[in-house]
Amino acid sequence: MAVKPLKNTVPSFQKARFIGLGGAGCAVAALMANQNSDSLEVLMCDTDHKLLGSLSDKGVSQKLFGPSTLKGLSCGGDATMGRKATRESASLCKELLSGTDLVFLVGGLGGGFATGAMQEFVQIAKEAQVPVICLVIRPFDFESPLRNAAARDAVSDLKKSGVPVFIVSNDVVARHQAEGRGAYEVFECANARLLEIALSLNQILTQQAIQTLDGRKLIETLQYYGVLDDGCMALGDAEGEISAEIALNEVLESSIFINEARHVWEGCIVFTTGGSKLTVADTRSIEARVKKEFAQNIDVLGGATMDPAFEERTRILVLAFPAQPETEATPDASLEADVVTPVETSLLPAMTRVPEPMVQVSHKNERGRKASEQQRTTKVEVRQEALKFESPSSSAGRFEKVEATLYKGENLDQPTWMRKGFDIRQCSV
Amino acid sequence: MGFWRKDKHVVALEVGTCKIAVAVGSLGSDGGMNILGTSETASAGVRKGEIVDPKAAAVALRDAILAAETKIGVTVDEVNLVLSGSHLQCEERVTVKEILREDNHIIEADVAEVHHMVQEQHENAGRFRVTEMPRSYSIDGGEPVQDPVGMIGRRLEAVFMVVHGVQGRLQNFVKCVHEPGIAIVDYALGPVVAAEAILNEDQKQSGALVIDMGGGLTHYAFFCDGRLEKMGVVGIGGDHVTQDISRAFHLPLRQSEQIKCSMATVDDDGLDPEQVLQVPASNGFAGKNIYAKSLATVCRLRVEETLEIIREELGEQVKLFGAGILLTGGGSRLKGVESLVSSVFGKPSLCARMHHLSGDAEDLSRPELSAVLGMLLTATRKEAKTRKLKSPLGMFKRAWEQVRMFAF
Repeated sequence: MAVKPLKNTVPSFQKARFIGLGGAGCAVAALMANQNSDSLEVLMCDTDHKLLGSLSDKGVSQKLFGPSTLKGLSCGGDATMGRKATRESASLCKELLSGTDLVFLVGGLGGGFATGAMQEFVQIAKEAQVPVICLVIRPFDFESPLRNAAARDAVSDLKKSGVPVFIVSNDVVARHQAEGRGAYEVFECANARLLEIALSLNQILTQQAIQTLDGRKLIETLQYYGVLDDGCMALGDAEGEISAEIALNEVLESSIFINEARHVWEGCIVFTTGGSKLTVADTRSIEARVKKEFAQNIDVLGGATMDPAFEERTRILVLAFPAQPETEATPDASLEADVVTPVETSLLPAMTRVPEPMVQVSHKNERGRKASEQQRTTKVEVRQEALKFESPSSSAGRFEKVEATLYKGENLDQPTWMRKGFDIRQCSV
Repeated sequence: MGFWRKDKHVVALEVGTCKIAVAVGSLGSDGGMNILGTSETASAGVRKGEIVDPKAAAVALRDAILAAETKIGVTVDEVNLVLSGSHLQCEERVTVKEILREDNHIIEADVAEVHHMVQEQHENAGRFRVTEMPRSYSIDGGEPVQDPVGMIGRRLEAVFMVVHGVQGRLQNFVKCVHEPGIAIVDYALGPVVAAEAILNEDQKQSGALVIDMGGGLTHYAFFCDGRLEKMGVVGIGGDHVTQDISRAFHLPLRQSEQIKCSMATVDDDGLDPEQVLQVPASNGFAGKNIYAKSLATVCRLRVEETLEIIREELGEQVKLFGAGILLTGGGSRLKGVESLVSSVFGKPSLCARMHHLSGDAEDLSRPELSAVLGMLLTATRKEAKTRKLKSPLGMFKRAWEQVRMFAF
């Protein structure tokens, strides 16, 4: 079933709920509350009475979980306590997940309330047939092995539940967005990044747009791919007359295009949010640039919304979908129809070649697997070859190895004439 | 010269992105500063005012110290260090003290306590407090006053300007200076000391902006009503202009630096679009012709952008530049920069000269030495104050003041 991605349709979801779980989740919820989004109802949930009290001035509805289990105290880094508290407050949880079209669950996976509660929330949402998108922050690698193990387990559980999970890693944020800054600032950057991703998704899913994607099919696509980490997401945000170009440059410098994990991309979705001057032509040109930058011949779908509050600001969120590892599916399971079903009903058919690696039944035999591996290797090589010949125009040159000078989303280490799009007349004499 | 005065020299050191500058001076018998000499050598291992290659930076620093010792004829074992770096941040902090005494008289101890309170405030993890400077005081929420001692009120509020930076980067800087066995006796912020060298009291009172256009960074410091109102740093400098030229015309960095210093201008308005400049051939480079107007446009865009960032950061304070804008640092040598600054800020601007210092005229005419000479001036003033306090005459004067206070 082919979906026409540029069809201007009514959004599938009218109202979404943004639920912040635990300390990090509540912090992001507080940030979200400042955005005053009409289509998003913001809530904070925790077991810690003190934490909720400290955020009471944010004007956000707060829910205390597990009052008998924890008596208003925090989970103390014990995810099982978080799970117990959620089970105790299951009726409250059901209440929070009802009467809405879509739920964003946000939290840090450091082993506390959110780590335990998120899976419980997801189960209840599934029973209530409410679509859920999880946005989580992964702890630093240097934090205790227990915390990291708890985060891994939580992600694995969420993945098994079949919900889309967006992971922002503190380490990646510290390396790229907040290099040289203190841990507190890294947390703030990670929270802000999560917020921007949620806002982009919410806008594309719930608001009338100049270029609309079918929300339900988008959710199905996200569900199919499951976990998207920093290497699969790029966010560009800029203000000013040429904000679209600057935001796009930011996106093109992101880890998707560096592709350290050597993903073989199957498809990509570009969400653009801009002010009243944003045109379909702009969004098409953004998509074309993104497609060109991928080097692999993948399909790029676009969605765009206009927000008058953005004025001269532009935000671009790119989600790239990597080929699913073959080891995930057992040979027999891959033949079953229910594995293929989400693909059939999702946006994927619009990305013409996307289903290929996933529906290749023949690759389950040894010969097919080798061929598939060979095909993948060839794709990676093509990418590397393309990189060799890419113009270094977007690099920061001799300042590449030092902390970038960023201002309003622009990397000032890149030549000004280049960023402002000046053509330098060369002398032929 | 009195017996308590030792003829000790004062050394100021600036480790910049492009150069390492050393200035040596001594305290004159009149309490003024004598510049004994300056020395300047190429820097290495420093980008945007921060150490990126400690080994190269240490070698360059050792060479610089040796060159200064040879040229000026002094032994350098301790220095006053000019601090810079794009990580330095300046913010306002307010401390409040309730005056609970019956007479509500504000005494020196109250002022000392609000100072102590701001000193006690901790910085975020990984950040180190460089300095805190009192900006103003207010009593019972009234108008700002410079010295609240002796005034009456129930609530003393003090506004401080706190400067902090990334601890690790500052430590790298200090470690690099310690490497050749040199002690740091004092340090100060680059833009603040540069302003000391070029601004007089009148300009500080009327409102003046100092822009120090360095190789790796551009600092600014805004003075008004005789005190520092705001300072900041933009991580853009002359190196960026060089790189922009290099990438625009596909020239090696050395040639780009040469044409920036000798041919470039930031005023592209009146230039003939067909005027061609010749970049001469040299080792491994075949030479090239470029359009003068294109070169000017590349330079203008970069400098204009940097100035616009500063203008934006200063906001409404731009209206308070009674004495205009003074430019210093190597970047201020770019042709046409004064008129560009005037057009961006809408205020008069000029390249600053260190008129009120005494020393070699050539040194004083070089804007790139303003920070190191300003540091020298600040350190000498401090030295003069210390000697005054330690001197028998000073001690006698203080004792006499105390006797007078009790007696009358």
